[in-house]
Amino acid sequence: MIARLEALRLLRSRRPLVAALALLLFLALMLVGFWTYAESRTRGAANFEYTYENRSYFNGLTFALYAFYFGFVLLLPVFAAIEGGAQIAGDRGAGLLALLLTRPLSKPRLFLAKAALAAGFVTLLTGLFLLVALLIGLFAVGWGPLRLYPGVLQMTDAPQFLARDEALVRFLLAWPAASLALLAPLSFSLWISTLTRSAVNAVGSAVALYLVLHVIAEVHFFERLRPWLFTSHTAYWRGLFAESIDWREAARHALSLLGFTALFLALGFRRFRRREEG
Amino acid sequence: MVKLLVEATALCKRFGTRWALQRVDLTVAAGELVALVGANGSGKSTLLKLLAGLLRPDGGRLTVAGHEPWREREAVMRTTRFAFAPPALFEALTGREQLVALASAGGASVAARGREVERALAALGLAARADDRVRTYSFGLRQRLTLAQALLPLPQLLVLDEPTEGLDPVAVRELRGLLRRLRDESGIAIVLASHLAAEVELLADRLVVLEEGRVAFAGPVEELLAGQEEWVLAVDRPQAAAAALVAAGFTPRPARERDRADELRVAPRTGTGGASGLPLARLQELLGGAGVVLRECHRDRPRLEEALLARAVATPGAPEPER
Amino acid sequence: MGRGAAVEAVLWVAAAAFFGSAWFGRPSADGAAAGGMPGDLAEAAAGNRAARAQAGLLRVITWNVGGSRDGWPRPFDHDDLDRLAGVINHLEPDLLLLQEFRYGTDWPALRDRLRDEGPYVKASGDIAIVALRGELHGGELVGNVAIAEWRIDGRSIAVGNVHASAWSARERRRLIGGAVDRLFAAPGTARLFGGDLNLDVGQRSDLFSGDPGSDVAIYNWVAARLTDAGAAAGPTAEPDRRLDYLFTSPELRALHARVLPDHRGPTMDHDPLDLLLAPR
Repeated sequence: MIARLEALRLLRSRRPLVAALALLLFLALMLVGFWTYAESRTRGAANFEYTYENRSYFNGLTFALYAFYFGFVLLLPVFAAIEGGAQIAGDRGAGLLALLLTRPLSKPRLFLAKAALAAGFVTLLTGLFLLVALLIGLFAVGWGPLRLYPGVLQMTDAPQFLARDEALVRFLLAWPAASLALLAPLSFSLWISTLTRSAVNAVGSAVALYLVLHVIAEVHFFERLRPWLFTSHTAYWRGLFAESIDWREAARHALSLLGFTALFLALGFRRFRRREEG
Repeated sequence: MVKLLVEATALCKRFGTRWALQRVDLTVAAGELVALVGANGSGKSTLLKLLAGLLRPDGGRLTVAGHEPWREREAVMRTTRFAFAPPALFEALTGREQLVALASAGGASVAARGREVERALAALGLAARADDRVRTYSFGLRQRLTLAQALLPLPQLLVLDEPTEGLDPVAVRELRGLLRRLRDESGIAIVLASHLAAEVELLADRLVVLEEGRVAFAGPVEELLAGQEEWVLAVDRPQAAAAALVAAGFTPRPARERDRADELRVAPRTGTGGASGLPLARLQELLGGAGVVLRECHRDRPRLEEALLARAVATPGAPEPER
Repeated sequence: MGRGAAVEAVLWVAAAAFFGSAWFGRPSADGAAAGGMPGDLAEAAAGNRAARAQAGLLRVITWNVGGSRDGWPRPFDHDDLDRLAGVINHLEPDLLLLQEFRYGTDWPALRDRLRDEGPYVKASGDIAIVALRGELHGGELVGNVAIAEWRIDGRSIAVGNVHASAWSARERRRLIGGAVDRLFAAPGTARLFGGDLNLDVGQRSDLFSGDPGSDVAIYNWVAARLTDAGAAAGPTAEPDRRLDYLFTSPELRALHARVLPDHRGPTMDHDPLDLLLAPR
């Protein structure tokens, strides 16, 4: 089965190890930043003149959310782009695509197997990141209720409170939601990968375009463009940490992301199907 | 009726404004080994990729095992195997894993897959290194592994691109024996693209010579070499001998790489000769008159490599094919 | 149709289906603005003070009625007096917190235009607390901080109105923190705190803030003590900033909060924030 071959290749490649190490390093840096910030700002005090940064506000769940928030913005889409770029362009550049296509293997099956494997990898990576972040939060800081305030994370306009167990359920929901969000940059990268012979070019282009779209989606002047940019929807999983989840809004964003995913897959597959491998 | 596994008629392929193949006709029958030769850029690789359905023809008609490769690639691959050069392999897998994976991609059962893999490993002398990662293989081993995957399972048509590149002489001889067995015992049709004329001369039933995307010759090797017989004369004074021969109306032929310094070649002429058909007396008289001693005289014909080299004299660019 | 073409067609159809579903599921413009207020309460908040009084509800509006020109703030312009009075007469709030409003020069002119007779006013600096129903008592009036006791419907509510600095985060922190401390020290069984806090802790960072992180901290501090009742109302000033707030203690349940974007005068640069409260 082609899926088994691709899975074996992925496991034997360095990509999973590099991704895992990069995420661990990121979490370590977040932890260091977390500790030094809490220490310097609060010195363990309950109140600090007209500012409020109590130690109980920063617990392991807050750490995990912070870490996942920034990891999702900065790291996970890059790994999704790397995976997408490696699948088609990488194989083409190494002559492996021609090798596979000289077996009785249809192009649809090959393309979809690669896409599915990449999606599975990104999903597992996201879950691993969340799990490790939560465990680090548990052992390094300790879990507690999750309190959110407007501010740095821009996750809420009003204070939110989630009891510990409820917060853990939200983290569990965030895993498939965030994974779904990453399917769009992954399929975007897969499409770019069908346009070039070089994996480096594919990954670089995909990451660069993703960052450009991400910035555009955040800049006020492009407000009208936002619904048409997939990067505007990828942060929808944050809504799962509100006291009252707006399921309709979450579903709307999820459907948009699935639409973008299907669109990029269609574009990529069309190119892959028609392209000569000379 | 002979079963034709490859039928190409007026096949054309263009890259941009450059025609890589122009009105190429090709047939390959079951149990036949057809060698594809030509200089770099003559269109050999393009033709093989068209057979594999990796490229789309821009003109003409092509079927492999009764299917159009570009449109029905999967169907073609059920009966055809390819081994392209340079070898493209999954570096992180072992040799055995590579073959098992590729055999699986063909939909074979687990048991059948296992037997075929072991047979292919044995046939290509890879059994001892089968469990090592491909990234540790030398070029020659990679070449062998590429050939091994082309035998999974045994196809009706085998297309090989420079299969002996990187192989040591022993391995080359073993491969030639394998190809002969496949052709003769299994009735497999083989298309072999090669730069090594010696190999082609030993194996090919038919030869197709490509020059600038066109078929310059198609037929048995013997046919290509026919009419190219030469006389080789060993003399003490080659220059004087050459002048005398030209004056007498003989047509000199270019020296071959394997010729000695005192040898020269001329085109045969009918005349009174001995048992070898050479007019020895006439030549001795002619050369003696020029003060040249004829030491030795024998018939020769060019090897295939020499014949091909002679054909590869630069010619002006070919016109566009008629469409 | 070959298998490849079929797969491609499926992907295109799937993309269209997902996008179509997302499109039809988008919120309507009306729904987003209304805030989901029940119909009978909508009627109550639409301006009928008597009905509100009967229902035991309170309507509170905070409004920075000043403007700006070329980036510099300007106080309330008397060209908008009729506008301001018209809005107050139409909306009939029970309590009004005004900023960039000078009691000495602006109040007499406004008072003459109001339908209500004898509203209570407590003012300081460029802010004023105007009670159009009930009474204001006591008061700590220091600079741009005004704290007073609002007695209404048998209740005593400590009210605070501030206009914090638009320039210095440190000044904002000092003023807001001090005002909240004084609010909790003031008499009253409930607390209501609001005004133009110039805190931008919403989606975009404020170009004028000296230290956005400090704004976050002071907001968090206040929010830990009081509930941000206007959180869902949206921005009150261009381009996309929420600068005006109303915080309540647990004794005051916020039923509805909204920004009224069509009420500002030509010289103003803030929209009023309108809050409907139900004392517990």
